[in-house]
Amino acid sequence: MAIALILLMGTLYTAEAGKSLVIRLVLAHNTSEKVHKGLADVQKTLTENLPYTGFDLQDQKRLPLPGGGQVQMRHNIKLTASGGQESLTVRVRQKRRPFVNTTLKLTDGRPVILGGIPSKRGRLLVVIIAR
Amino acid sequence: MKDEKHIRDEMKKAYGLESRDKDGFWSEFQRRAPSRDQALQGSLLPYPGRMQWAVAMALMMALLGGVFLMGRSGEAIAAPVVESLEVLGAYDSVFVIEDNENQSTIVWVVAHDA
Repeated sequence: MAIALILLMGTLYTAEAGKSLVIRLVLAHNTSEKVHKGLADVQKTLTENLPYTGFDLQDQKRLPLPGGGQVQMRHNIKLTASGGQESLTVRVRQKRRPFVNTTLKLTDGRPVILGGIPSKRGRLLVVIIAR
Repeated sequence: MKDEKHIRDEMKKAYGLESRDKDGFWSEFQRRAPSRDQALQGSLLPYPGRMQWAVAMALMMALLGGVFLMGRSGEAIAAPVVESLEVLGAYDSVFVIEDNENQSTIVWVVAHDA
C-alpha cells in the first residue's frame, strides 16, 4: 500500500512538469481600468506592481517545452525561446530592434513579465508562463 | 467379506479408537470448545498490538503525505528566477521585481526615450 502511495505521488509530480510555454502580449495603459479577462491569473501581479490601470491582451502564442522556438506577435514583437524550464533563454525584439536577452528559471504556473516596450498607447509587456 | 463390527475392532486395535455415543461426542466437543477459541484468538495479534500497527500505518501515511505536500508547497513558493539579463538598446533604468505574494517576477525596462 505504501509503495502504491509512493508511485502515485511520483506520478503526480511528473504530471506537474511544464509541457509548454504560454506567451501573452499585453498592452498596459492608463486610458481605462479594465483588465482583460484573459489576464485574470496575472491581474494582481500587474495591477499591484505596475503604474498602469488598464491591461489589454493583444496576442497569445504557445511554444513547446523543452525546446522552444520563435513566435511572431502583434506590434511586430518577435520572441525566441530555447532550452528547458530550468534554464530558458528568451530573446525579445520589436521589429529589428532588440529589447532584452534573458535566461530564466521558470516555475510551473508562475509568470515572468518582461516589459516596458514603448507603444503609442502605453507600454507593451510579455507574460511568460510554463504550463 | 469383513463385517462392520470386525472393521471397528480392527481399527480399535490399530489406533486405540473407541466408539462413542452421541451424548459422549457432544460433551467432549463442548469441553474442548473453549480451549479451541482461546487457541484461535492466540493466533491473532492482541488488541493493543493491532492498535499499534494501525497507528504505525496511519503515521507512515501521514508522514508520506506531509513530505508530498511540503514538496508541492516548496514548488509553489518558488517564484521564477532571472538568471541573467541583458538589455539591448538605450535605457534609463531596469527593475527586477520579485513579487513573492503573487509568486511572479517582473523585469521592467524604462527605455531612454520613454
